[in-house]
Amino acid sequence: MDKPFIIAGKELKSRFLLGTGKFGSKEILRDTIIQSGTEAVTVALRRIDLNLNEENILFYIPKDIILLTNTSGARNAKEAIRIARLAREAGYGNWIKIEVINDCKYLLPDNAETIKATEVLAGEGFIILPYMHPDLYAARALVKAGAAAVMPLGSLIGSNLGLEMKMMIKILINEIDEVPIIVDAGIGVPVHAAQAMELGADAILVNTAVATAADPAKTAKAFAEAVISGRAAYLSKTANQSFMASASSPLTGYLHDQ
Amino acid sequence: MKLIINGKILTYPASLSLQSYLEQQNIDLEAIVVEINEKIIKRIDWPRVNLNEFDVVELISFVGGG
Repeated sequence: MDKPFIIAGKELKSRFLLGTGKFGSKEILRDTIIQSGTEAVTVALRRIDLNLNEENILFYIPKDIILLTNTSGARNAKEAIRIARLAREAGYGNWIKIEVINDCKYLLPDNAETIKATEVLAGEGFIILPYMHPDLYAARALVKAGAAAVMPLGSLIGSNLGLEMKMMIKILINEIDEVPIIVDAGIGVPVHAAQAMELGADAILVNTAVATAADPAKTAKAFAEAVISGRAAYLSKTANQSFMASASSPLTGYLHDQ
Repeated sequence: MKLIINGKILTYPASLSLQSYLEQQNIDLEAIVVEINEKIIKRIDWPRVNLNEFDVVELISFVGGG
């Protein structure tokens, strides 16, 4: 029996969170959300292009899906706080994925600024899911600051490299019991999702690998299945690894036995 | 009257309410947020907030993101 996946008192049946960036069209996005079975998607806030009259992305996200607005574009805690407050004012909830990045090459999160922003926003009643570099001290500080989950990166955003941070994520899984651990960024193929779940992550978040696939809806379904099997493997406490062989068949009754 | 709207300097007739400015734009007002000089303007206040010379106005909405 699995324990429920709960963020800030809200139980999510799906352990697969989806990002909504980079999709070829809003119709594809809608189909992909449905196929993924996700219950929470990330969105971003940007200036409106006054010359475009673009249709709002929210019309393509089913109403019962939780919107997790990210603070992308924020270079420090102050800017992240400003974006979070704007998001809440828009009237679509108060779930925020804090993302503070001031490095353009690797898009690595600034843990110190993220902790500052978490402290302020959690104090204002926001539900905060911070994107973070998997560092145990930072994760503890985020929990103390009031984070509702922590979201360590698997590898660089959009890189599809998988769990380059595997060992550090495992330490967070082992040591942080208070809030869910959601592996975010770098998950490129379903096997990476399964690996994260087998490690004991509570959930994963994928965007680029799904959105930029030739068939995003089908890819999302494949990820969703990998999440389920990875979780089942974690719960079943799969067997240990060994650097020596161990025969699967009996070592007795051979035809050449005398 | 000069206004800085989403980073661009634009000229408008004087004494314009935020509400009437927004209604003149070809945008969907449903899911937008407005900030003037880094202060969020609640939707309910749009009709009674006037735009003033050199106000920095940000019109923000949701887009896809990870």
